[in-house]
Amino acid sequence: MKISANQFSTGYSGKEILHNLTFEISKPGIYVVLGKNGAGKTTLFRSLTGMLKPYSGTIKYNDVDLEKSDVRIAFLGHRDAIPIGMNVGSALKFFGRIEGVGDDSINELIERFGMKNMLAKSYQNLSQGQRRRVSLAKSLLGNKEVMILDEPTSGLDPKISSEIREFMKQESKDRIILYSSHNLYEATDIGSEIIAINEGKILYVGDIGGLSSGNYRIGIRGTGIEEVASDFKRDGNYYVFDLKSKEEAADLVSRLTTAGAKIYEVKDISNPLERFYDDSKE
Amino acid sequence: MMIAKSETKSGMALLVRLNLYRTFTSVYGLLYLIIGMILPIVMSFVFSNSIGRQADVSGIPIIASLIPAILPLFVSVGSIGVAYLFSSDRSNGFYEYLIATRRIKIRDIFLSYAIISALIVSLLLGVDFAIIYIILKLKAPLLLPAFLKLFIVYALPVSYFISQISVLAMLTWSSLSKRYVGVNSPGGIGSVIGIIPSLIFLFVGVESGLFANDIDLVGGLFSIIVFAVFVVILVVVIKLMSNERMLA
Repeated sequence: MKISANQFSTGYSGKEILHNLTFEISKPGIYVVLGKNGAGKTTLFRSLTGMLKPYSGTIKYNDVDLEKSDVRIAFLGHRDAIPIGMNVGSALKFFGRIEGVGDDSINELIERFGMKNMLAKSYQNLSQGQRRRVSLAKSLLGNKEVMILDEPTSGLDPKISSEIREFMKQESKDRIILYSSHNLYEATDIGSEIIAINEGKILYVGDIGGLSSGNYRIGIRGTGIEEVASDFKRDGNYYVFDLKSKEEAADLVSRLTTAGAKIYEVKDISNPLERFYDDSKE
Repeated sequence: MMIAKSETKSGMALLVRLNLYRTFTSVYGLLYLIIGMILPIVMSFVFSNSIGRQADVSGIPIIASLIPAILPLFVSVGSIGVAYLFSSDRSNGFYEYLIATRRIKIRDIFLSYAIISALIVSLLLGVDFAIIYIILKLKAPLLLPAFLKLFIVYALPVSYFISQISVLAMLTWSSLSKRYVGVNSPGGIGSVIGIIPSLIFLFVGVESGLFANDIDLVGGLFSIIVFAVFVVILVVVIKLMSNERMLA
């Protein structure tokens, strides 16, 4: 499967939002789409599904124009897309019929997403996190070649979020998954490739490992640190230091222990993806 | 994930089934169905009762025309309950999902509502006609011939056309409006559009008495005019609609 965009521009009501996007995705995996609010992530997702027609340029799947392509796409937008008046069980059955899958597939997702106790409940009576869970489950029905998921774990508790990420990792072995998230730690956990967008333009497409953060941030948990060091910030139990390299971190820890501080934990809390949310680094 | 054998049902067919189900199980749908079904029957009962007691038959042509003249008014109102679902489904991203995953076209979405509207009109007309026929046969048989003629040339076709116009107007209004559920309620515009043609025929064609001797001809001509309006609105709507209008 290959997705390619060539000088693609589109928008709403004649106003261009995405400008001359060009990129190619040709191997399975999870591609994390990053960008500030209003950067164009949702517009990109809508374009990749054919909801928005191009003002110029093309989007192709396996070198076939999107409009003529028969690629099967799983889509989760920022709205849940469950029709009103349905309970969870009937909604999943309905979407199962749309996708041509049987009860076995639906039951598998019900088990995996912990929705057994919700089946008889009206969708309108669920919490936001529960609704998101149902919405995500319905989007994953059917055997799709491409998954386009707009903040799929938004509002979900950590346990379910973690299970969903593991599910995505398995699914990504033989399909392309485009996944947007504002949670940078989730992004580095789940994705190997990123697509960064800002103001409707592509900033970066490539491997997360190819990014360097430009700084090295560590969190140290211990006692007696305040008597020895001064250039830190507090974050809960951690003393956070911004350093230039791992070597500097090793020197710092050595200085602290030599001066009598007790170190219980040293944690790397750098995130190379922060730059895409930091105006000063554009 | 184990995949079952794919069904051949189209997205539109599933939409029709879903929306029919919700029409008969939702408050709005049921309320409008009841209005469309019960009120014409009640009014026919009242008219036929008054005719039955009346010795002077000079007002009969107008009274006979009143019953088929009011039928489309109530039947069109009765069929628009389903259109309330459109606004909500659009706002919560349901059509966005169908376009993205099933490549469903806008015309399929609109067509599904048109099919449901036609099915509901058929149900309402069928029930109303049967019951009104029985009422008139028993209570005011003098009204039957005029009722039957105007039913065929006016009430039957116009019921379908103005229901379709109402539903189209509601969906279009909702699609072109700002995307806020509640504020975006299409009910007012649709039911008004459905009522206006019927009211025009009722007051100008029937009540005025001007066309008492040619009421069937006038009714038939009016049906053709309403059909023409329906076709024009349909063409305009198809031109105005784009996927963008279905986005949440």
